[in-house]
Amino acid sequence: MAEDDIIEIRDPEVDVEEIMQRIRERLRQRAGKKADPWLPAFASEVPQVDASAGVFTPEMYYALQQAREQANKIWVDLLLTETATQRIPFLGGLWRRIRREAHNLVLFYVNILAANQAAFNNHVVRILSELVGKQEKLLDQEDALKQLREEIEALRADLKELQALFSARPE
Amino acid sequence: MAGDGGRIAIVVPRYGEEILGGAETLARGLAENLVDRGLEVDVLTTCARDHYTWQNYYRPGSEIINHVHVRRFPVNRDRDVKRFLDLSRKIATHQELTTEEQYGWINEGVHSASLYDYIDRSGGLYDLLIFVPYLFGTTYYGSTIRPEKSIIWPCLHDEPYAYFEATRTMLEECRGIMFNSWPEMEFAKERLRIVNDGMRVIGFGFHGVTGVGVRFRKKYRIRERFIVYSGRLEAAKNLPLLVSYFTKYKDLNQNDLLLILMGTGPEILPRRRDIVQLGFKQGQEKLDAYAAATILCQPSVNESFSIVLMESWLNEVPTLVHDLCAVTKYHCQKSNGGLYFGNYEEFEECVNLLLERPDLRRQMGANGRRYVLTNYNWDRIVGKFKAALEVWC
Repeated sequence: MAEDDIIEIRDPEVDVEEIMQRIRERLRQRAGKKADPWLPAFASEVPQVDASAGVFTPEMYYALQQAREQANKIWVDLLLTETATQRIPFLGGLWRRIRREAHNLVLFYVNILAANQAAFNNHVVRILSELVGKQEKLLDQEDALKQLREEIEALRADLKELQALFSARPE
Repeated sequence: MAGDGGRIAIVVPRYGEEILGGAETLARGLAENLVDRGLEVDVLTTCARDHYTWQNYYRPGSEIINHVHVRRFPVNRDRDVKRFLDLSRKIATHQELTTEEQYGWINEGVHSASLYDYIDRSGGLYDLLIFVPYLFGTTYYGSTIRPEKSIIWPCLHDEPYAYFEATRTMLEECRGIMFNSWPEMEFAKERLRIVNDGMRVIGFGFHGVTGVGVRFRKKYRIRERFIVYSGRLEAAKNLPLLVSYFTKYKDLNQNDLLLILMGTGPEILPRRRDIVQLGFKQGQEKLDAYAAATILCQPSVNESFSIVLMESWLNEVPTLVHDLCAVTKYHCQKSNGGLYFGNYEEFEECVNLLLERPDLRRQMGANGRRYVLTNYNWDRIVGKFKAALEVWC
């Protein structure tokens, strides 16, 4: 399979990725300064979930990613098919306009509902992303805890052994 | 093999100078440039002009459009439009379709029995049949007739149709797949897990034409700086997001910035002094608008290439794209010609940075132009296409 053969434009003065990093860092700092102890920090943006962590199944990460992407995609477009009435001269054109305006009016209200639903979806997705992130951290901590317990057990065993050796030594 | 690269048929559901859809523009551009470089190309298409009604508009038969031989075939009139629209609504609302419903949606789409009959009888005349784009009946059905000679030029992005079983079968059983960009191919390989040895990234070519910004400003009496959007005015292109971000931006930032929209579509937009709708613009006038713009914004997350991005860069105007669109973000990163936003705060920062730094704007615009002229000139694209032909033929 061929490699990506696109010729990159390298510019010593402009590095888009670096600019975006700086912008994001600035926004993070600003969010940190503004942080209100009474507001949850994740309210400002949907936290990124790292699928490579592999704590959950790939389907779970995919579903979450899809939910993130589709949370806003609930707008309704105008979809009108032509009817036989519309082919009648003059009246047909008039009917088409009236029908279109009526549909537009309905869509106007439907899209207001859609906007509210999108806002709700965004909150749910934020909460889910936050929960997945927290759960990943908890599982990481659990692993670290297990490792520490094992180390303590091993140290206790070593200590016991040393104590036994020490007590067996003649005065 | 006739000609330099064999005889090729490009199969596209609609074709003509007045048909301006993305895939149709790609098909016409490639056909004309292959013919100009001595390849034998026929375009096989339908008589339809409108992609909602699919009514037969053009006369069936042969004609020459810009040196390209075009054969038109009538569209079947036995579609069950109601079933098609019912299933389309189900897809649009992200409901899962059964395999039978998926095939039902394809069956009730656009088809032409006489086109299929021609491919069956005369397909032997061609070394390759290139079908573009993937989600039309003419591609699903047409490519099954001679799969060993069929190349799918899918114009693929992350949408429900891409996950149809019929899409997988079609993409895996054809001779090869021709992608517009590297991220599009990655999506097919990594996300859809499509396996096909004949996958190649070709892209699309541009001539270095530019517009005259002053002419546009004079004609529309616009003195202010502006963000331009060019494309269908519809939710699928993420336009409501751009409009909501722009209105919020203007509420929070007191400046002269306008949002100028070029295109038509069903989206209802707020009536504000700072949002200007120009309607559908094409040709030189569209290029003039790009040249006059301060920033071009392409908020769509469903792109397999994005012609408007390239046209903006040819006019040395920096771009602003959505972080979730792998293709447009890739172009911005490779060109150093555009920025990307994932939320309102990033949108605001990017806009303000570009407004405050004309030097950065100029530099990014120049980078973009170099990127297009280096990677997407027709000589390079046709060269890549010919190299792919050696694999496919």
